Amino acid sequence: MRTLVFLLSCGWLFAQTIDSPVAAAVVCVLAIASCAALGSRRRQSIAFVVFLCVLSLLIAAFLTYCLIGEFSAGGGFIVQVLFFLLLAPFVPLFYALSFPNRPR
Amino acid sequence: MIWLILATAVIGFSCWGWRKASDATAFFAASRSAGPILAGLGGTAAGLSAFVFVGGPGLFATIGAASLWIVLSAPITGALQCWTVGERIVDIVKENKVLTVPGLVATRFGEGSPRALSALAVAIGGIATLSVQIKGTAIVGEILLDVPGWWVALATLIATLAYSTAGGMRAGLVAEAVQGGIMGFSALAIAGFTLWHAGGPMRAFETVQRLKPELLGIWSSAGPTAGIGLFLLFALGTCAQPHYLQKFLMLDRRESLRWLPAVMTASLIAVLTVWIGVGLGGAALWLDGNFILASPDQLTPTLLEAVLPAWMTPLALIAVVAAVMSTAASLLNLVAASISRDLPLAFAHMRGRRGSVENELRWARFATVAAAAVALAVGLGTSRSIAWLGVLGWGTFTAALLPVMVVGLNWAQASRRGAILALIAGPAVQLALELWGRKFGLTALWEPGLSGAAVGCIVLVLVSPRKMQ
Repeated sequence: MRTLVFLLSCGWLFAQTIDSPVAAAVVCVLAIASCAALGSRRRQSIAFVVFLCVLSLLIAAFLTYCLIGEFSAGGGFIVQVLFFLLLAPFVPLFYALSFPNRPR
Repeated sequence: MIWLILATAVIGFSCWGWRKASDATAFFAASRSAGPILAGLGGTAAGLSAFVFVGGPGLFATIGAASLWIVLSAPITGALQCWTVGERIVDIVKENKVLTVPGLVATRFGEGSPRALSALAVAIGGIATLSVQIKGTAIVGEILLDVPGWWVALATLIATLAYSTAGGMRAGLVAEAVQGGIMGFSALAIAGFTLWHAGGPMRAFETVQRLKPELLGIWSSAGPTAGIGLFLLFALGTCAQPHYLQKFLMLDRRESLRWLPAVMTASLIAVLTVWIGVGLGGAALWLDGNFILASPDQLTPTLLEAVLPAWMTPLALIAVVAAVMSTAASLLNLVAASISRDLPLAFAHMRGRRGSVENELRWARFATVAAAAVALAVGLGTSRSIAWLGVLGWGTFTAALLPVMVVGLNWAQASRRGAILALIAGPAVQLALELWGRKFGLTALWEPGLSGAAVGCIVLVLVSPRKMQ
């Protein structure tokens, strides 16, 4: 935990200092996944790990596409809206379905 | 007539709140009576403000689709909050009966300085965010009602004060849930009508693409790193916003967490349609010459006045006022709790006394009024835009509370000394970058709130011992 938090925090400061969007994107995906994994009480659940991997891959793919995609004017905006609408139903639904019936 | 009905409702609601808020648990934690719908709608209403209705579409008109990086994390924030801090907070509340966010910090890291520093952060960030609400109301009110903006801001604040002072969060949470519903319905209606007037989403898209294609570019002049920074700030930042965290303290039972993200996300998406819909449709109508904008902040009110049907103006005004009141009520309660409960408890502990506050409810009500007066002065006196005042408030909470809430609550080795230094280092870095950025223009390179949180996290893990104590 100590090393992960330290590396992510330093990574974010480093990405901003050298103004590297790729480094910023890597830290962004890892930070979101780490927060969810470290805080959640069900990080040993396979379904949770698989879902978190899929979510991280989706965010990574979206950011990668935004960074390297050759957009015609307006293409990027459509990708943003699609990302927004795609994730909206699935993340809260997974949370509800995977909510443990009994607290640990 | 509308104002008479609203005034009667506020007076009636204040009387109900006065009767119900008989102790500190009722005043600060709504008697722990909230289910997922009440907490979810209330959380969204408190989290979204004039910033979304006025600042958001205005920001779209200024920097275009790049502004959407602020809202793109919305689909994941509800679940992320529950995973990261919500479940832990509910467990802590079950054992310790905590009433405030600084109280959570004190439960985890001990009484005294941790409670005092987090209370200071909540008070300062709360005043900054409250000032956004006041400035937003003043701008919208001035244009739509054709009266001095500060009249409208003052009237809104007095109405909020009436039920917040009388009933605290016992009245505030119910009001927030109703206001959240109004905001969602109004946002969908305003966005739908704007896009319809612009000829539909595709026509609006084509108009903007033809007349000002740079508005559809996904990166602003600040570049991709800054865009990703905003995405991360608003994704992780929700885990450190006290007006969201406060809702976990009000839940009636653990099971209420199950559907909380679904309610929060649905209401969040409904309200945020105003950002995308009015941003895109309004920009298309503006570029097509339907109206002239004096400043980007005025896109929503100008659009309502010049283009949309007359009946939509009161609807929009009620939505903006609901947004302002809901956020203001939560923040007033948080600031009041910090001043009247957390700081006295922390200082009493520092002087070696057992903590208890006499006449707590009376002091809380007095502190609520004092916080409103300070925020009114800041909100009407500042020259900063609504959008960036909003980012400033969000950033202060993130820099101060993200290390202690996200890392501190979930990492057993996090120490008291580490938490104290993180609570000092995070806001200090954020404030220094804000001031430095205004003077030398470096804010675009280093996002102040997230940089402050990163430094706070580094300090917390470096100062905490290597082995469990």
